[in-house]
Amino acid sequence: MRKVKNKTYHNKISKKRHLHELKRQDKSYSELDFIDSLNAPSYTNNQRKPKSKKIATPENFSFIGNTNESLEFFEDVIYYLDNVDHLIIDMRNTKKMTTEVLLYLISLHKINEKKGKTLNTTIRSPKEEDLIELMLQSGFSNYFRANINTKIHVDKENIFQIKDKETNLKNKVYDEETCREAIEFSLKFYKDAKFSQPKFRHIYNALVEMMQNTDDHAYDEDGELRNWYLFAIKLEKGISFFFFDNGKGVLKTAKKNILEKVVEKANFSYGHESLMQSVLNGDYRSATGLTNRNRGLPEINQSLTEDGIELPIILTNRIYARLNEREYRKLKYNFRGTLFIWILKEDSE
Amino acid sequence: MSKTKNIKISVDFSPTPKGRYHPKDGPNTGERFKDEFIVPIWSDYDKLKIDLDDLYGCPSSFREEAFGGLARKYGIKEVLDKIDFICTDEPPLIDVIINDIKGAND
Repeated sequence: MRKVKNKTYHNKISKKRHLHELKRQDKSYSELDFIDSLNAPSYTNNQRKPKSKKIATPENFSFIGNTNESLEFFEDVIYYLDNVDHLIIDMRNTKKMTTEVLLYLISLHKINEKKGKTLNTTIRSPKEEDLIELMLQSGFSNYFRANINTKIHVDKENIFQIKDKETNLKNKVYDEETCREAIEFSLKFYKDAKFSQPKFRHIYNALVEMMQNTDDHAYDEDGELRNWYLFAIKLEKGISFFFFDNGKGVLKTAKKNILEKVVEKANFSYGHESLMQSVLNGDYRSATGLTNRNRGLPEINQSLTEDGIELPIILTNRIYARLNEREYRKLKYNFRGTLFIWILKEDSE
Repeated sequence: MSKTKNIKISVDFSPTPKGRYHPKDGPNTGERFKDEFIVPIWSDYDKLKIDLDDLYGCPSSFREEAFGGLARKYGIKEVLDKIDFICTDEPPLIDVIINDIKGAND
């Protein structure tokens, strides 16, 4: 009898400890959550219960390393942003992550905000410390209103925090100023380097044309969601750049021939690889119909394939393009917008 | 004796040229450079020496509207005859601009 009683007592204590542990865990997670709680709708008892949905990010959360699974996750996010009141993005099982997915997440969050929806989004941070650090250092957390970890020391020496067009407009900063700042950031890592050296000029030109493309082609005339995002980070050898715009995508804005139009209407992604190649080559693809206007993407392509630049990648619509290898891979899901990634090699000149 | 005017874009205009049309694309566009810095003095000089050094870059949208735009206004031959370019930072840029001028009417 005594033994059984002890067991019951033991179970009771153990359950209590377990609950306490969970409570502590919840508490520690909530300290790292990025909550847009100011957007949270208020409900009274006689109102309907808010619809809530939790979606987990992939273990390897990256468009570079795990493209289709990450895109599939975002397809879900886009669906639920329109269909629930509270969306919880659970990153606790994510072990690897790259910055471009954060840019995509910010972009969706901002689009949603602009729609004037009272959606409450909560982002549960990953457990890995380096990933939390990336979320804080990159400036990702600044885009979520109620984040409590804003008083962190940002390593500005090695990180060029996320900049975006909308914030530039608000602060009356011209795009070329952001391009200049990105070049100044890069210069620190090269001995006796000068901003007007070709490798820096190529980066400047590419950035300017990416921004220009966003303004000129990325949206319909009445589109209000014009935005681009730029981020750079010092790697062990080189600097990695990420540029993302949430427009229609390169393939949707390119001028198409009749056959390509028919294929597009039928919703096929057939021929997208050759279309992409043609756009990058500067063939007769300008939406304006003038070849002298058809310079932006070819210039970006040329700038990013110059000596001194590594692993240039473009993701847009259904295409994943590796520029150096001229390799064009079809994607399972549509990438909404255009993402450019490249590395400026160290002492490459 | 021929009259020559030297223009250093980085000093006289901006070290960060960007975009085609003014004011839509910003303050340092090709259109503004052409209309405010070149067109008013075009007939006053026999030669214009345009220095492209000390720039952060010279993107295609700026180049095409500035120099291609001049060719559309004054003709390809007149522009090529009148303008000399200097660029020690990135010498191949000169040929790129000459191609922009030659392709201005395409």
